[in-house]
Amino acid sequence: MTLAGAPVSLLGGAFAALGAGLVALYVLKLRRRRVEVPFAQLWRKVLRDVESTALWRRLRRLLSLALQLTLLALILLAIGDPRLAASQRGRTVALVIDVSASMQTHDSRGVYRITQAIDAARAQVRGLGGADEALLIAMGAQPSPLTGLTHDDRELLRALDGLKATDAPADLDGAMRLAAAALRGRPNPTLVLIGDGGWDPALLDRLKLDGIDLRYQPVGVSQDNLAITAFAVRRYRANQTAYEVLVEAQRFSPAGVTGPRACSLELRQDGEVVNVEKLELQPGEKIQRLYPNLAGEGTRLEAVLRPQVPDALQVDDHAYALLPPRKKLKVLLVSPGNLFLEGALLLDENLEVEKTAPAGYTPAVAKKFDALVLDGFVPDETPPVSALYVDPRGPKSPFVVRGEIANPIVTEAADKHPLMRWVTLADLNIARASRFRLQPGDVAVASSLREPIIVARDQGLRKLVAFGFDLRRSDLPLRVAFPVLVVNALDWFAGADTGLMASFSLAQPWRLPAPAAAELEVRDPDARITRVPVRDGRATFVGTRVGYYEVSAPGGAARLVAANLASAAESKLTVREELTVGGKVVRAPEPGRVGVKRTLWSYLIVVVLLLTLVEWWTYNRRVTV
Amino acid sequence: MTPRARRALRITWPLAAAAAIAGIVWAIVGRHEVVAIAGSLELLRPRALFIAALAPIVLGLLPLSLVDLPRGQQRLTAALRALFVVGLAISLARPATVGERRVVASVLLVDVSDSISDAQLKEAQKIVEDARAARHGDDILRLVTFGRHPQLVDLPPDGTALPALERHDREGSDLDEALQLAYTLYPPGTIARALLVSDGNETEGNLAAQALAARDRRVHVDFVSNARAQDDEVLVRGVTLPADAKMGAPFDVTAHVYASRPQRVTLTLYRDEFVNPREGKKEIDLVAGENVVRWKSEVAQPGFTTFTVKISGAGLKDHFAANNQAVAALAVKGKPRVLYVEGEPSAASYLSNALKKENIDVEVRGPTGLPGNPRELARYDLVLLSDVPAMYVGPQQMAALEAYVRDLGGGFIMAGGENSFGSGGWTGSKMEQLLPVRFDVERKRDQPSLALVLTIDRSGSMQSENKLELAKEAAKATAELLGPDDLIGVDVFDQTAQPVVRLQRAANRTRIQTQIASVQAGGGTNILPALRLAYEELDPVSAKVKHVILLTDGQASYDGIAQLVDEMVEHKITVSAVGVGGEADKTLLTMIAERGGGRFYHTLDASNVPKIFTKETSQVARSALVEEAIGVQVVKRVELLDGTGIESAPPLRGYVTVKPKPMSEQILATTRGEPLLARWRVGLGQAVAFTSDVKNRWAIDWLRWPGYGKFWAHLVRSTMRHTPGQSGGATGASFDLAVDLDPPHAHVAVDAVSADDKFLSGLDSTLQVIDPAHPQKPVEVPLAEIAAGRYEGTFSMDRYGAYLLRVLHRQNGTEIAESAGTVSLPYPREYLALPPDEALLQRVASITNGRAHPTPAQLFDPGAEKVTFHRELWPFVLWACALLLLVDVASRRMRLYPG
Repeated sequence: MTLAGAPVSLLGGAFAALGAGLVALYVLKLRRRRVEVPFAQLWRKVLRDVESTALWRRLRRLLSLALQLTLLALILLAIGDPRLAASQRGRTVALVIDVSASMQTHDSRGVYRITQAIDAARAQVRGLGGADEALLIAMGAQPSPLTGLTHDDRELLRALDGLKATDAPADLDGAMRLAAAALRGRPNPTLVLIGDGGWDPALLDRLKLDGIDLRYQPVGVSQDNLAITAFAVRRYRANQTAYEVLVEAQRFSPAGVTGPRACSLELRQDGEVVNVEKLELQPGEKIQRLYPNLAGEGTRLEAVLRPQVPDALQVDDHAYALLPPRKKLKVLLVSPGNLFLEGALLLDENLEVEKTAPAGYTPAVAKKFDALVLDGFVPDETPPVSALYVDPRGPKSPFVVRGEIANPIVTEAADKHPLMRWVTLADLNIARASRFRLQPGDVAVASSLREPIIVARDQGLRKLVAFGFDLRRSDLPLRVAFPVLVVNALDWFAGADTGLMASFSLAQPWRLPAPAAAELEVRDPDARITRVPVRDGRATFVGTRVGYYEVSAPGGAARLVAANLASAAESKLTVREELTVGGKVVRAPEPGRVGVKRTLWSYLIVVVLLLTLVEWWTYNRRVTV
Repeated sequence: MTPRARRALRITWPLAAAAAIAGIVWAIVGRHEVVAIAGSLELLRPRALFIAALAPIVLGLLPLSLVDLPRGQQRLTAALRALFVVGLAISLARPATVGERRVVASVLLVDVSDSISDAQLKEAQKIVEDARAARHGDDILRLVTFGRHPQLVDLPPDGTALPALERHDREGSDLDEALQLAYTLYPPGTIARALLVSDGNETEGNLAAQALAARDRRVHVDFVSNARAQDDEVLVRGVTLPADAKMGAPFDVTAHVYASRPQRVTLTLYRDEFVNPREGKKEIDLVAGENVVRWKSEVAQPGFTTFTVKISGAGLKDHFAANNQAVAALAVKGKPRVLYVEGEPSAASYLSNALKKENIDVEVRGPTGLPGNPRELARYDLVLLSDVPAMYVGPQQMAALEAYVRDLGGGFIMAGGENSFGSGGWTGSKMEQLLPVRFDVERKRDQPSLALVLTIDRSGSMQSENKLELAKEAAKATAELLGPDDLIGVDVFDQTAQPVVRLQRAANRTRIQTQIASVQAGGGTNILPALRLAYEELDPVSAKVKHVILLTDGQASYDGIAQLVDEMVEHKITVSAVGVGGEADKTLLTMIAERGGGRFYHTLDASNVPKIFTKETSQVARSALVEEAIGVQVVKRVELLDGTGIESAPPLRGYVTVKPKPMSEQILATTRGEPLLARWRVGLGQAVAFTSDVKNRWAIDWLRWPGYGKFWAHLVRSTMRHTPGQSGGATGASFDLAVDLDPPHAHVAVDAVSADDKFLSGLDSTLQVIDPAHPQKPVEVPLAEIAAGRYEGTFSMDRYGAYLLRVLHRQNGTEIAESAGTVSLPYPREYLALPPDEALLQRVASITNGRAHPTPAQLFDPGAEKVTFHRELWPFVLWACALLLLVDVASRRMRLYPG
């Protein structure tokens, strides 16, 4: 036992001083009250009886004094804040509380699962034994410790007060690993998992418990639920101005539920309903709807599922997507005249091409464009925007030429590079080509016997591509590959991805592209603003709510991204009543062995209180004095 | 008031007062865990205030008191005791003020994974010691070491030396989880600081994302990045294999080898368990840094093959052995399927056997066997048409073949033979449009390639020197020489001309021979009617080449001959002239030959006549078929010729003359400079013309040439449809499969896009993860469609090594496509010997307002930060209670009111 409060010396001194006072008060003879009696003889007998009990009276006074001194000692000891040493008999409990989207489910009485989980956690905290230590971990998309390991149940209860369910799926694995790390090396480690059990069973099988006593406390009741499990927009490859939208809705039913459930599926574009469909879903049924050939730019798409009977979980009845603007890429062709290049650039209607002779090129002009095509021309300074260099030579070229190869053949090609999509360079005829020296980060898109002749360089803000040969001295322009290659290069500059505009999933951190900023500001659907630094043209962000997020660079225009739950595991509202790990059913948690709390002062004060009351009674009844 | 009522009141008022107090406390406290009283004053356990309800009961006992004190003093004593009880209740309610303080709790997170060298670990230990020394006051220092998992290390009491840091979970670095654990170590009311001592190479978790959470928790994360590892190290970063290797086709296996300093090592490539047969061990002098080493290999079996590169060597300067090998797996598609339509099925075995030896499935069909719809053709990767006459191929079949090449990306080869190209009657057909060569200008079908009329002088003079007999022999030989479909006619003339052999197919050899034999000599010489007869015979015939060979030994009238010959030339009839003996009119014959577009031969020795005829005939016939030993010239060095040894190919014995089209690619030519092998792209596919044949007629020497099979296999492979995974089954397309590795998970994404760029939705796609160690037990993972045509799924790798991935796509229960891929994680990423990722650490520090390389004192620098904490006031209350106790006792022990 140790004293955490006032030092022993102070307490000792105080006891000596106050105790002396008490003793003095008891040594003092209480001045007798003078009472006039009419006949003293009558009283003499009484007084004699009193004298015969003098010994008892003296003892009674001593007892009273001892009682008072005990009270004083107890109070002073309490002031010393005595604490029990950490006991090896106590448990170390990690309370892992599911705060994933499914915990927003409410039952028929309107009680949310998260509330039930918090109540269950409170009960656990209150049931902690005096020697038990505990910590709280909220299990969302990222496991988040709410407290450190503590004996202080107040702190644990306080941490539970503000707990809310997120829109994100649960990272069971991460939470378990964190809990295991926190429990490692502690006495009697116990992990109490509180939630609805809507987790990937495969994950549970892989849990390594390392001697941790796992307990499971299910909350909630199984419910029927309609959910949108997928919603995404995809740009067509052939026609990049049109999109196809996929909506997948599914009904998740607990066992024993029969009969169809009616709902309507709405597709909204910028808030306007563009399509409504009445659906009837059987238990477990999944339907898919495709909306082909949608057009439009920069518009918000929302899929809304409206069940006739309101759903127990609403967060999955909405899904969000965006039709991002397809900006026309402004391209400047700097060339003394090259019909091949001009022809290739004409092919893509999303390009806005201007031509100029090398003499007309200035860095100021270049800035007005999104990309440059430099045909045999190397500007003094590397342009500030992405550029395709055709046969760059000379000291000003950002691509260092190591030498020349006559009649090279393409022997190696980086097939996975975006430049090479749908392109084959086999048996390309080239009269001569420059051999480039690769710089760190360069990709040799095409090489002749390991000598790079087409090189791509990604500098984050700016991308550069160099063809190491004159187009007119090769048969590349006569090949189908040529216009595709040029368009691929420009697409790569524009950062156009595979045309898939999947909404972000809340399950994983997002990597937001931010080519030209050092920091991004993300405004979530709750209008909370988070500043995120950018590295390598991307910023990492963790979303916790579904809906639209506004992403903006300082001073730049905001663009939207959408986030969806899209998790069947979360939408399935069947409560796992029994958890089986490694073939064994996980037991329900038990309250701790009843024991004293490590902090003893309040017990001491309770003792003082009781003694005080007893002493008050005995004093008044003249048992003590 | 009656005494009874008074007594009742005496009993009830304390209870009522107690209830009132309880009510008030309930009103204030309710269900709250904490109650703010005023200002910064809070009650942390407000429910203890219910104890205050005992105070009235203390007072209520007063009437029962037997104490011999004045009433006033009794009341005072009771009040003091009640106050004492209230004081205790207040202390139990834990009053506290919210205060500010600047106590720092600093958690040191020290990376002890294998990427940290022993020297670096010692430096880390020094950092911990320094931090211990710099801690003062109430500041708190905690130590967490982490590899793949974090672990709290109990620090010994101050003044005791820190035991050496121990490594654990060394096969990975999870900085994310280490930081999460740190959160659990900050006591409430402290300023949270963390110091990451790491190289920043995380193998698991996402530290950048965790940094945002750290910022929300106001944990400043400082870092000390470990200097570049100086341990000697050599490792295989990875093995790269081609995306789609074909069975039997050679490909490169590339290993990326990293060495910390130059050294000589042995690199061995294993194909499955065995050393790669082509090239196995390589002694390589590695340079410091990245090295690229290549092997040639090939795979003979369809399915999956693993390639392992291992580093070995005597005195290897190396730290970790785990990273000395890397593995990658290759999915090799089944054999290509070729439809081989042979005009002469008995001769089909040469090529089909050769291709089968090269792992190509060949289906041989007769000349009528070409399917009539593209779907049926789509089962094959290539269609080879060899020596098939056009008459057996209908327009529907041709249209199907064209669609197959143009739209389905199929490969098409037409190989020569006397029935191929122009001589097979293909001129002007769709096939001619499809192929990269022009056959000729004639546009009629079913035409013989050559119509030849021999016009032989049978005048009396021909009898001398046995000239007529020799001429007859020559005529017979000519008839022998011609192809069976060629037409031959023999006219004889003296003053007039008579046909001996009516223009007919050379196949009727016996009759022709007999008829020629019947020719008798006699009469004069008049050339004009003879030529006119030949003209009249040839003019209506449709043949590619119409030719007249005129043989005479005398002189004749010139009248009308020139005009006639001009007229014949206008009708595409050429005339050659042969003069025998000294009396032949060379002037006239030269004129005829020159005007007639033919050749003039003169011989004094009539025995030369047969040779002349033969030569002349083959000369004429050559415009369609060339049948003589011809060499092969490489016009353009292309990939398909690699390894075939085409330079050493024996001569071919014939070919079909064609002309290259302008945009075609000529690869091989005959020594005469005419196309032998030409190709071009047609839509999505490729069409190839090989003008010689594939069998024992012209290519008889090739059949014995070792390169024959290789050449054809390479040609087939480079021409055939190039959709990976297509062959080996009768199913349709294959979709791109991409794997994103995030150990221990791998995310698989498949783009189901049809040939016409449409997204295929609603497929039932299942990923099979095949562990080569247990190929019979693939793990199946259903893929979810997350967007139109996009299917994704995740699986976890329980083992280091290569995995083979196969996705089967079903639509309404039928398998419509298959995607294949591989993923390999040869060893923990921890052993990649990467340079420190200081940028990541810097980023985390900048998000969380941390510092780079802080001094020990800075670890406990609260900065401008203050933390609120609860200053508990109960000890003060208890002090007051202690004093109150003294006063309480005094009030009993001293008579304050004189009685």
